[in-house]
Amino acid sequence: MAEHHDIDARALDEAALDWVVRTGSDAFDDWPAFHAWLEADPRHAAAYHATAMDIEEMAASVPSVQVAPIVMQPPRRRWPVWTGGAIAASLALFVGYEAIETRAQPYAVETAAGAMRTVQLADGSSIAMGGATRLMLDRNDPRTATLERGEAMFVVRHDDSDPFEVSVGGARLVDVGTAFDVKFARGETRVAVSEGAVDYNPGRDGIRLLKGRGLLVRDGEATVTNVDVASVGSWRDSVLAYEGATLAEVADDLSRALGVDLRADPGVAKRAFSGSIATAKLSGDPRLAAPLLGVAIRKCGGHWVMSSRS
Amino acid sequence: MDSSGLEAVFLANRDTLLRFLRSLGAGDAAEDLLHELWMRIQTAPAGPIASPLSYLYRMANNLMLDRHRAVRQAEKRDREWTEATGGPALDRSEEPSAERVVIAREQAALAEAALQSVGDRAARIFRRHRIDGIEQRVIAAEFGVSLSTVEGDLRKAYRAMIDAKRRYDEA
Repeated sequence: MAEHHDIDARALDEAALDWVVRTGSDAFDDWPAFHAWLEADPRHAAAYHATAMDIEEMAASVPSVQVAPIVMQPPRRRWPVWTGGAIAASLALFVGYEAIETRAQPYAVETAAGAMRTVQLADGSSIAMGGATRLMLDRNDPRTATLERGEAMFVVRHDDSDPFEVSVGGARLVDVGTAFDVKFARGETRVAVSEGAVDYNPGRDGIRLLKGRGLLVRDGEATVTNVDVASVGSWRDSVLAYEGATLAEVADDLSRALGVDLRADPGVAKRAFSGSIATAKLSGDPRLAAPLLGVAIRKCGGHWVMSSRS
Repeated sequence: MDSSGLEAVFLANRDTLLRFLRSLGAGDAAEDLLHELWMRIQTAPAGPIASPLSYLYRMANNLMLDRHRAVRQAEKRDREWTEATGGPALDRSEEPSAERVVIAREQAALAEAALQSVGDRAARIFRRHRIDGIEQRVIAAEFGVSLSTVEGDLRKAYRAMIDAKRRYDEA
């Protein structure tokens, strides 16, 4: 009997691996067959996920061998969503190696929702932090920062031999003489460059963002956008400026700026908004933004909801 | 088809997607995940989607993979926390500890050895797919081989890596 079990376990393992390989292709479309396999036995899902995660973990361990010049990439490229973790993990490792050699002394700087704060670094660089934002900095390496959540505007002193580096959402941003804004919220990373340039994930697949360019990374897909240089980081002056943003994004930004919990109802969440909101004039009351946004905003339990005006 | 078309496909296949999430082991969280899927469709950039149901299946599958990834990361953090000698919470980050770096180095050596054992082409195909994030069909064209050869090579590399990892974890 024990032998049978071993044979079963091996067969299950092999089948799970087959499905990981097949579902790992963007071209895969036989989802009903995969679904049927999963439903055949509850152990199948567990084996599939264990296999997928083991591979991710190992893939993340593979040392990167590419050291190549930065090239301008086409504005749109796709990353399979599931490699995100592997990339994030391999970057974390890279940071880890450095950290152990230089005896990193990390510390966190955090702001409450509705608050703002500017951090001056020893090298003359400054980081303005929006509300509900958390940054990890390092006392022994003033040239690195990790944006764990929220939004921050970096105005950094450039040094070719030691470029300033920001980690965000599992990716790296390396300054090329720079002022740039980075936001990490709702699983999306946004970058906007108002001066100089920034390299996103420098290396073979890097993207160089020049002044007036931005980047949106959503569901593992990076899209280069144009941004209005004058409005990059304007939130520091209590002005939220948008060009075709979704109301879901606006709600999120207002929440951090005002210190409230404002959500966009699914009916309006993806509606586009262009314009500026002077947050200081709202006195913490999101309802005052409703006419500008063309929606109704009402209190619902402990939070605010943005919905269709009717 | 734009995202409103996607909404229609979602609504028409709601029960199938819910069953799919359950079959993936979502359990009681299946409804929540389905809602999350719905929310993601709302904010998805409008654009042509060739096969909307496949697209939704993939999103659902990715949601579950995200959950498992988060669980693994939380387990790692927990281990790291108990290994740590202390210090104020403010000084802690999600970046790896020294302990984890040592483990990671061992794992890196194992991964490298496993990759070398599967032959040059399979190792290169693995790197293109898993590290560079290149889609399998594109790799097939790059290497001048069929898609099933790419799949076979990936499978071989994955097998070697999983076996190496499981031997290491048991040791």
